Amino acid sequence: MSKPKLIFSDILDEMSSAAKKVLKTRWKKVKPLAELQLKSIIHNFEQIAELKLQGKITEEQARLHLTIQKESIRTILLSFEGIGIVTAEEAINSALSAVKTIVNKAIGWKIL
Amino acid sequence: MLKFFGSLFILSFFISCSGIRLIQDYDSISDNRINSLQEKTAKFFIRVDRQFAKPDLNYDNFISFYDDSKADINVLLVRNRALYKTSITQQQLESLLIQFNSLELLHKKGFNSKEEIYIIKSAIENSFTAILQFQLSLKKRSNT
Repeated sequence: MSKPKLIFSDILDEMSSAAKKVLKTRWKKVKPLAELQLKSIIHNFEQIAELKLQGKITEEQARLHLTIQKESIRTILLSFEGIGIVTAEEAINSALSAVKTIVNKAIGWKIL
Repeated sequence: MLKFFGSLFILSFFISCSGIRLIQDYDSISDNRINSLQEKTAKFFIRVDRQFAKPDLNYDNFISFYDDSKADINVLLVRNRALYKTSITQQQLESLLIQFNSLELLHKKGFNSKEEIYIIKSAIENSFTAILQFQLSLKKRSNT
């Protein structure tokens, strides 16, 4: 039996192109909405400052408003982190799946 | 040759199962409950906007909304604490609870302008969008 030919650079190329594909498409979809959400919160911060300056809200009310905005940013960033992990997971699994194809092809039968 | 098949065995361990899991599985019960809480909150803001500067806007008329919403978030938190790798969802829910508590305190003090209501509404809506966006990415993954 001759030794199966597995070229490391081929596997690496296949894995990284599979991972890149997943990362690119997912981030392109997520980024614009997150930016829009963060922009609207920055606008809200300006509004709170204005309401305080106009005397329409007290310092305590301003503080409560700022807490709401701050926590909103937190949920957005957490979502970003979570989607990042899902994306990374998809990238890893799709890279592993690429290896599966290449290894099975080199061996000549479905071992993986 | 032995080395080759050894590496192959390790590789097959990672690939052959169900893939690597770095984060929680999609939970349809949590997703549905978050959606219904979002709907309830949207109705609350419509009502508040309509009743602005009227006696009906009084905090006492909205106590049941605050009780229900906070109970919903707590039920979701307990459920997610029991599920595996749900730290992000848990933190998002804790964040949402802080927002509802602050909203309630502001309501108790009374809203002085409609702008106040709009900035709270937009922040809470952004939070729901972010939470649901994350749930959607989990759902998409579970479908692939």
